Amino acid sequence: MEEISRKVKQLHFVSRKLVDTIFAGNYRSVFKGPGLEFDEVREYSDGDDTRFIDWNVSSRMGTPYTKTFREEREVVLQVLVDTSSSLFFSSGSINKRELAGHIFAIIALAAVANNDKVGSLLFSDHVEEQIQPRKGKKHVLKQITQILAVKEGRKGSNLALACKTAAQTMKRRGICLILSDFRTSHYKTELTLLARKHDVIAIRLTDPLDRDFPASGLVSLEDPESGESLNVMGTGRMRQQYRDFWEHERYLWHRDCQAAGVDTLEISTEDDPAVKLLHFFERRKKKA
Amino acid sequence: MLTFESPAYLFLLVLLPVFMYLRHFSPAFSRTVRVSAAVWRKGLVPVRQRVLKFFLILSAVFFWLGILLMGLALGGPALSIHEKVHLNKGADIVFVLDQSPSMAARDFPPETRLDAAVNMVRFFVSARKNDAVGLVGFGEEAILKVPPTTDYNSFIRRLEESQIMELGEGTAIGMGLAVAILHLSESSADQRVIILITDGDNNAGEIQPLAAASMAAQMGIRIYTIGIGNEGEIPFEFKNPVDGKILSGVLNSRFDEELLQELAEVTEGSFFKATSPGTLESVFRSIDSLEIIEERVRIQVKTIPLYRLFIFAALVLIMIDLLFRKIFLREVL
Amino acid sequence: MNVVYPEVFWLLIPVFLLLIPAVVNYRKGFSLLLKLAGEWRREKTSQAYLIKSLIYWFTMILFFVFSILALAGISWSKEAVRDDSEGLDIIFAVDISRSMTAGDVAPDRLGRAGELISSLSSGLKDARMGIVIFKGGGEVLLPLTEDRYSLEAAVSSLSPFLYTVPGSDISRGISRAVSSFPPGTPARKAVVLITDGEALEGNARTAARDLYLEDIKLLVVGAGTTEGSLIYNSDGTVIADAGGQPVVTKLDISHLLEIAESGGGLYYDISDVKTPGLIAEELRSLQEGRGSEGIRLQDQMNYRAFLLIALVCLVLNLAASRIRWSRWY
Repeated sequence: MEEISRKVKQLHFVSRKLVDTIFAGNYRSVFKGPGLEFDEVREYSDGDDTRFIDWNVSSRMGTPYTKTFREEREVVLQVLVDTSSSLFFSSGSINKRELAGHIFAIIALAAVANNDKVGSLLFSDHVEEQIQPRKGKKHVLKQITQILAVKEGRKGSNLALACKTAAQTMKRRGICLILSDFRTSHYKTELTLLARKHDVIAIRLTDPLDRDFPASGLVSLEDPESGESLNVMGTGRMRQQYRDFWEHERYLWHRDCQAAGVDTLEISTEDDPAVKLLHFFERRKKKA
Repeated sequence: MLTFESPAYLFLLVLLPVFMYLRHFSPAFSRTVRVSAAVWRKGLVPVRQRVLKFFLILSAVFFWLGILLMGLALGGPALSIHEKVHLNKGADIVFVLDQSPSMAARDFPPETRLDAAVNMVRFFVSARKNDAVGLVGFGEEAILKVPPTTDYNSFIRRLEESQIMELGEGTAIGMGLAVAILHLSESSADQRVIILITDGDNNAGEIQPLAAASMAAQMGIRIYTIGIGNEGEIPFEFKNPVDGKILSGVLNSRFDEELLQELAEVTEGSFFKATSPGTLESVFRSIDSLEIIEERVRIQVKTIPLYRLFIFAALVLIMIDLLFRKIFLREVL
Repeated sequence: MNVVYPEVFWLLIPVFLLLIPAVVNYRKGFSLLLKLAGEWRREKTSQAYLIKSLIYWFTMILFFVFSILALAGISWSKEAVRDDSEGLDIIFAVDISRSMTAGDVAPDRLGRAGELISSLSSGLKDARMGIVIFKGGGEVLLPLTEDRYSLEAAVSSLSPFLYTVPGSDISRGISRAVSSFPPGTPARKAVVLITDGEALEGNARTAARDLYLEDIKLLVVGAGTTEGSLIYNSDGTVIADAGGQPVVTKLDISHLLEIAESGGGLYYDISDVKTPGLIAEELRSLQEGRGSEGIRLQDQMNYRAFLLIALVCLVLNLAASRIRWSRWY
């Protein structure tokens, strides 16, 4: 427990600096798109988006008027965190679950800095925990602690159920972030339904081991979720089969997300999540 | 026949399936590493390694065969051989074989008289089981070639070495009998028998055949006499063992039927005439039927323990399994 | 305690050589596990893997060691076996190599051997006796017989010229003696080996062990002295080696003691005046030793205990694979 609170503090410290310097401004601009509310109508000037010209007012006044928007004052950030045992996996020094904690910390603290509500939903084959969105740094730290405290041993990643639950609980349009390794299936419908109402971003936690199996002798792998074991020998053919399978999985995920209109981001355990997120934010800002 | 000395230990083999289950059909936590290798509700990474699977099964077969052999070794496997053990002494039979040059006559084409006699003696001896057999050869003089023994292999080896004329040119029947009698004198056997095989007249030696026969009669030794060969002119050819020259010619000899008859009568034996290949055989058959001693036999079970073989084979099998997995497949856990 | 097959202990060398693949396997396996399991659980990995490897190889090597002990034919106890033997068969295996003509015991070694046989022949009236002679090979001089005249004749004929196979191989003498016992007799069997122990080839100890396994009593008689003696050609000249040095033949007592030991037999010195009496007594006791119940004590091979321990090691090896050393392994 001590170790976790130490980690949370450290994470908070690092993330806060990041959030203060880089993410604070970006956050609002990235999630601008759908989360706007009407502010006022003013005269059209060059460079304004023609999409937002209010034709009613323009015809009445004789000159083009455009609508201006401001961000919704309170945007709810709902984070779906996969806590199944398959996240206890990595070849590097941190595993995917810790990576999920980092990403959550950065984004949640950025959200809090923008006075948004942050809630989370921890799931495995069922919904393990659901934390109602609330404002405040304390609330976020509590959630980080909760994510880092998850013990290995939870089986299954029922993403479909998580999406359904999130859709039911989020009354107003909000931002929905999915942190998972996506070693799951049959979630397409629910994800599409969720994406219709909310701004959904799927962050796939990856690792070099997801692609490449090391050249090896005979070793028996025990899947922590199903308990099934598999005797493998890291020969050339076996490694090719392994790579092909996971590449295909990744392709399926990407295709399903795109079809559902969900934005995708892959972050590897090797990467610095801050850098990756920043790139992602900048890319989104350009699109917006 | 394979038997087990302590079959009770074989019940331990009941544990074998338990260990097989332990090793193959239950999760062996310690031999696996927990690494996610599956997609939820989709199953494990579909890695097909049929060759590897085959090797693993093969290796496991080696291992379990080894364990099976170990278990069998606990039971004390042994090869048991049933051996007939003769409890009483058989007869002592000494063959007195004429090796004079006339025995080279080819009465029993393509064999000579000596060859035919040797073959028949060998045949006769090979049917013996418990009778000690000895061999005396005579020509001009007589020597003991094999003392009465049940070591038939040695007997037959010496018998086959018999050559024409190795003991001189004469026919010292009396000497031959005397030597045989001498070496039977110490024998403790109930029945002592001399079988004389000759084709000629007694024409050498200091002891008269009849004198020897009466000595035999006194000691209770029976003499069977076999006169071998046809009357008339018979071709012969042999190599002189002294100078290596080949001698050949035509022979006109006959055995002294009266003498042989008398020798047999004096000692309560019998006289037989063997003039053709078939008759010699029937002669030995009839001697065989005359000399029957009631056998007292015990069957003794001799066991040759095989457990070392089993353990060694098991060791090799298990070692193969180990090295195969650890070196060839480079098994990690 | 008696070890019948000490040569199997050589097998321990390859077993301990297993440590090499064990270490190589451990190091390779460890680096692979780090890749698979990741740096983040390195500590757990290294602990669990070290313990597991140690247990695995330790139990495996113990298994092999105890199996080898089971193979060694170790015996420390006697078991009672039925003995229905009747009578006594004795084969004298006499060395007739040239060195047996040495005169360090009077009149010469071979002559002394003949005297010994004659004395035993008169001392053991009921026994059947035979003589096997050997040099580089073995040959039956006198098949097993009751006939004492032929025994005397055979004894007096003993000389190096009886048999012309070069070399000196005690093992062939012994194995020829074993094969010249006819089957199917109820008699107890004994081999009296008379030699100076100089063997150039063959493994006499293995041959002697066959005697032990066949339950044939072995009595080894050393002919000669340890000081040794020169040997002479028939023309009276001293036999010399290639360098011109005269050859001195000595009694190799240590070799003969080894032969006697692995054959479970006894050793006697031919130059000791008590020897004929002692041997006769020993041979006589073979017939009488079984006692009135027809029971005789025989070494019992205690292999089962070792085999069971070996199997337990293997079971431990299997059972250890059931233990979960940490959450991850």
